[in-house]
Order: sequence, then C-alpha cells, then structure tokens
Amino acid sequence: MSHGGGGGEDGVSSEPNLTPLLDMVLQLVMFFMLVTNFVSDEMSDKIKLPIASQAKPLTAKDTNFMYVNVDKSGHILFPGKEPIIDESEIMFNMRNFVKVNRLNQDGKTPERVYDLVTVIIRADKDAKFRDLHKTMTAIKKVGFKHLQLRAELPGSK
Amino acid sequence: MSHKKKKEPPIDITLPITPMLDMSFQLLSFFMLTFKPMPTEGQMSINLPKPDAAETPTDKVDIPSDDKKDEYTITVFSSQGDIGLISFKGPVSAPAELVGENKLAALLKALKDIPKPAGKGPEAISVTIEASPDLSYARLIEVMDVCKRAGYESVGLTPIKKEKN
Repeated sequence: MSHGGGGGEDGVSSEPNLTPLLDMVLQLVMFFMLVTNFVSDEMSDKIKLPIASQAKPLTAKDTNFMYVNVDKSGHILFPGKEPIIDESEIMFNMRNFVKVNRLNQDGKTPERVYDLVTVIIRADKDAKFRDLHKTMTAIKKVGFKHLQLRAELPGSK
Repeated sequence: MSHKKKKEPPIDITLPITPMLDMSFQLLSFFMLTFKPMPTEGQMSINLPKPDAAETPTDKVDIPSDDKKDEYTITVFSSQGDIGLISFKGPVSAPAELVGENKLAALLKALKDIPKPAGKGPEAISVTIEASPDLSYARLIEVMDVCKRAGYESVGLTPIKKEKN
C-alpha cells in the first residue's frame, strides 16, 4: 500500500506507521473497559446518598452482603420488582432474595446465611427515619444479624 | 543438465491495520462516552433495633452486671427533617439539651467528655440515638458521623419514645 506522490519510480512512499497508534488505542480501550463500573442491579442509581466522613469502604474480605435501597418516599427498591412499602412484603422479598442468591451456596441453612450476610441499607438522603426504622425492623424480623448504613465518602465525585 | 531453481522473492505480508484501528477507535469512543465514575461509598455499622422499642419503653430493666455497659442516649428532635434539638442523657444524669450555634460540635464535645471505665475504651460505652420519625437520613448520618468521630464505632438506633412538645 503505497501512496506515491506523482507516480513513477521516483515517487516517495509516505505510508504512516499505524502500529504504535493502534497499540495506544488498544491500551486506552483496555483502561476504560477495566474502570467502567457497570451498574449493579442491586445498587439503584435513583438513590442520592448523604455524605459521611467516617464511613468505611468495603474491603476484599467483605463478600457476603446484600443491598436494600430505600428511596426518598420510603419505598424499598428490589431489583426487577415494583417499589414496595409494606413490611411483610419487604420480609418476603428479602427471604426470596436469600433463597435465589445465597442459599444454594454450599448447602447453607437460611439461619446460617442470615448470620453470615451483612445487610447494607442504601437510603436516599431525604428518606425519613420512620421508613428507615421500618426497614431495619423488617430486616431484624427476617433474622439478619449484621446491619450497616451506607453513605458517600466526601470528595468522591 | 542441471535446472537451478530460481529463488522466489519473499512474499510481503501486510496486515491491514486501518480497519482494526477504526474498530478500536469506535470501542474507545463508546467507553469514553459511557464512562461515569461512581462515587466511592462506605458503610457505618449499627446495632439492630431492639424489638418494639417505641411501643414498650418500660421494658428496659437495669440488671446490675459487670459486663453491663454505661448507656448514653442522644435524642434528636427534628424540625422539618432537619435537626431541631439534641438532648444528651447519661446513665445517671437527666437529659440535658445541647446548646450552642453548632449542636453537632457540642455533641462531639459531650461524647468526647464521657468518662471511660478504668482500663477500658469506648467499646465499654453504649451509645443509642433516639431519632424523631421525621428526621431525614442525611441528618441522622451526620449525628452518626459525630459518634464515630468521638470513637464510638457501633451505635444503636431507635425511634423517639415521646415527641417533645
């Protein structure tokens, strides 16, 4: 593939070397592929979290957890479900979530799973405490033992 | 009669880089356009609420025990979702309203001034936040943040037993 100027034997070949350019572009593609956060179904992007300086991010050790999203009107958002507000519905959906996602692992009993799994509440900053408390009570009634509240770390945007 | 085989000129293999580069640029533009850095999120541990704390306020029976923690209660009253009034109560003292322009700074000072049992740290103290049902989650997190800054890693949350008029 030569792009000569005027043709003939004396034409100067000026083919650019595209290989380094391709290398660089592929490296950039890889970078963006790795850092792209694909939105998890469990973490609703409708929730605007408050900011807390003392919140601790998850570590590699934290593997067993589930998210409960509470929007500003107090509805609980489960992936693929309509927003729910009733306590018994919250409990039903949480038990169902455990059955679908956790129970098949190593043949653990529900009680063992409830003890191992940490529930993380992601509530909207404008949600009211009454809705939060209702959710917490439902979580306790289901049998979970560990509960955490999620917030955004300052300066992370 | 010898037939000397003529050496053929080497075949020049050229890999078409241009279409590959085009495709890579398309992929790059896709990832650049859809790239949205997620804010870093963190957790705060809390103790699970006591059963029916709001309905049965007299259920608390003080049983003297060596392992029993000193209980401190922060009561947060709300005013249209914001923090209206904060009162602080120790195991023996009566609830005292926190005064000052910055109530959270006053709360931090009160929490830091809690006397620790001899040879023990903040883990020997139990801190419970009693919050008004209308208090917003953002304000609640601010109060919890203050507790953490004072060294109390896990706090309890319970609804306020009786709204102050």
